[in-house]
Amino acid sequence: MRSEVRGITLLAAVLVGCGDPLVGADYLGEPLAVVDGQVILEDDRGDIDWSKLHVSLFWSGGSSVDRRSEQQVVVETQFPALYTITVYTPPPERVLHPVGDGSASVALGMPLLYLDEDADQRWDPATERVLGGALDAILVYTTAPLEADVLKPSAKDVGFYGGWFPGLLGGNGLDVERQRLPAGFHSALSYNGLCELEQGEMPAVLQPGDPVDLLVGDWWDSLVDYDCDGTFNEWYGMCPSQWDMAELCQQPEVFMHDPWLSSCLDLCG
Amino acid sequence: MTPAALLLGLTALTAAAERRYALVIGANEGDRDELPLRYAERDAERTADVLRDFAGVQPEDLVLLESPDAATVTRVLASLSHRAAADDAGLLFVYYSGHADAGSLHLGGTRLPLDQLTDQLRDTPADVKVLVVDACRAGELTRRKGAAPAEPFELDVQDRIDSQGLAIITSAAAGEDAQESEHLRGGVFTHHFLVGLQGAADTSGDRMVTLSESYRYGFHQTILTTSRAPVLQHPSYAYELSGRDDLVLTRLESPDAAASVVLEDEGQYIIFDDSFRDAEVVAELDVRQETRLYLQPGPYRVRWRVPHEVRETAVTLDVGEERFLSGADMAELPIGQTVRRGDLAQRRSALGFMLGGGFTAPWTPDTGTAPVGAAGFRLDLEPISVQARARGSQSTSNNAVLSMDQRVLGADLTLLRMLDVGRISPGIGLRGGADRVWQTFDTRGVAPDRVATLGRVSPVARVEVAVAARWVVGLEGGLSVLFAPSTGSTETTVAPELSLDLLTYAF
Repeated sequence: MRSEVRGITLLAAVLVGCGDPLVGADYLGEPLAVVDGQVILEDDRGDIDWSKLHVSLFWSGGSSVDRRSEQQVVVETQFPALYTITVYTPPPERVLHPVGDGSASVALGMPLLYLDEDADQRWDPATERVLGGALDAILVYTTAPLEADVLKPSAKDVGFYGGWFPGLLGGNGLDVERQRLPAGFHSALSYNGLCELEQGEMPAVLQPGDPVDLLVGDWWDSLVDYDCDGTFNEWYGMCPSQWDMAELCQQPEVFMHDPWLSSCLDLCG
Repeated sequence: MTPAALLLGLTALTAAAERRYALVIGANEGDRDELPLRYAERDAERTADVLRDFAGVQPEDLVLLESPDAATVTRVLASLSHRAAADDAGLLFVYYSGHADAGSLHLGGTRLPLDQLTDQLRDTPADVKVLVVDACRAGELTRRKGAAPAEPFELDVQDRIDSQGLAIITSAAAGEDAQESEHLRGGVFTHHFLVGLQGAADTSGDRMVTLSESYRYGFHQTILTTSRAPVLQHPSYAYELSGRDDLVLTRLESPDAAASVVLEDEGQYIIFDDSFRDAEVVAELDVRQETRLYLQPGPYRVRWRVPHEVRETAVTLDVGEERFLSGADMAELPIGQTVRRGDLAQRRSALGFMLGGGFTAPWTPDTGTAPVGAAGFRLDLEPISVQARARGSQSTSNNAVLSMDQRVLGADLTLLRMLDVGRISPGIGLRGGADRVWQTFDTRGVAPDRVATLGRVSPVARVEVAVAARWVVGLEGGLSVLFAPSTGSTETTVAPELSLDLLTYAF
């Protein structure tokens, strides 16, 4: 009798299926990060074609346009109010920058809003306008836990840091002194006041679930001059390619109508 | 009394070549409380054909009555007796197939007393009178031909036959039921009696079939056939005569417009008339020695059955043609089919191995059609076929973030009911089984491997083509209902499958 019950139980288990839930081809993996928040609309931006507005995650390639990367992420929007970005993969290798003893690499990124004119969910710098971005936060990704003080400058930080990070590491900007940063994605508060922080003051790392709000309008004003050099050249990587810039620079009025592009105007030399 | 004794007794019957008369009666309907028979009238028609074609009865001297009443039979028999007297006839042959009891024939609600019939025959001036009665009650499946339950049909002929030459043959002994055969589409005894008249009973090889030969043949074949049925049936006979030779019923030296097949090998032969789409059995006989059988010209299919195999060939007989047939001339029938049909008395199962491949539709979203390979064995039994398989598949799918490799290894059991139509055998069935599924991922992100067990139930449709006696190609389709684990529950999905396989019978 006991064996019969066991047999019936086994048969029932087989019939109803057992084990891990199986997935289909649409499975993207386990979410590594979820970034969400509100979309804040400035008063004079009411004429936006919301149907074309697209949120995407951009990783800074430093001053190199070639290393700029828009990462394909899963986006859910309830424009004009809310958005959610789900990240399933780490940033591409080309935007990762070794720090410290090289055991960890770091990437900095930001959700941006642009008009996806051709609905291909890819930003075309030459034709598609960036309308907004994170108001006061950036995304930080580290491949390994960052110990406190690891982002302090060192001789071998020339290169990645030399381009736009030194100021950050000079005691201002994003400093994780006294705070161990686990591997993975983090959102960190950013504001231009970073350059005025006293040595040892630390911007907070946002806790998971803290919203990252996006501003549609003069959002670039909130960009952080991480290197505290008075320019935003650390974001040049987000500018159009040098070939596109060469063409755009012949049409200065374009820059006047696009505040984001105007931040790239320095590239026209 | 044994057939040998019958032979001795019937040697006294005449071989008269005088004019012959025949009254052939078939009545499916008996009393109102009796189930109608299916083949009594058909038996009568076949008997009339054989008498005309092979027994020398001219068409104008043969009267076929279907569903007559008793008065009609009496009147027609009287008329034939009158003509027989006028022509100094040598033989009056009376055949009856229908319901009866111990005292009378049941003819569509009327009754003809046996005493009256035998007396009337006794008074007929023909030299020899032969009465053949195939009567019994009807059953639903075996088609028993029946008499009243209290008094089964029985002729106490010893009390009734006088010396004028009356022989009576009945299809069953006292207390026995006679049987109709769905397979033969007729009474068992009548079938064998007529096949005997067509040559199968000619044991002497003189191309003449006597009354004793035909009875003996019918006796043996009826016992052989009914020995495979729940109830055994023994034909019986009675006679009274003297100073005569055995009566020759059919002369086969040169029957008009006939052809013959010579069955050379020992075994059971079944001959089908291929003129019709639904080929019917013309003759079923067990052959112990070379046997010649006379048939009407036309297309036939001859099946030869020995304990471990069944062979078959198609022949078209022309007028006057003599065709010799042996097992070597025939093609072996697919072993699986013969087992499923129960054609082999000493072989009740066939075991084969199968190897195949096919495709299964995606059962996880958008994973695409996956190739499937399967191997297993097949067991054919008379009512059903059983397939057991191990199966496996592998597929990959990609999206913008990761690529997935999915491997499936499973086993299933299928019960099939096959229908054999020539060399093509369609069938339907039900399959149940289980699959073990492994999903692995290649991604820069995080995607742990997944392992699960699925339950699987599927209706199955299958078509097989026998390309040789032991080789079969099968096409199989199913609609699998899968029970897969999902987050906190079981998800049910449906996935069509299609596969092609090769089956070879080894045992």
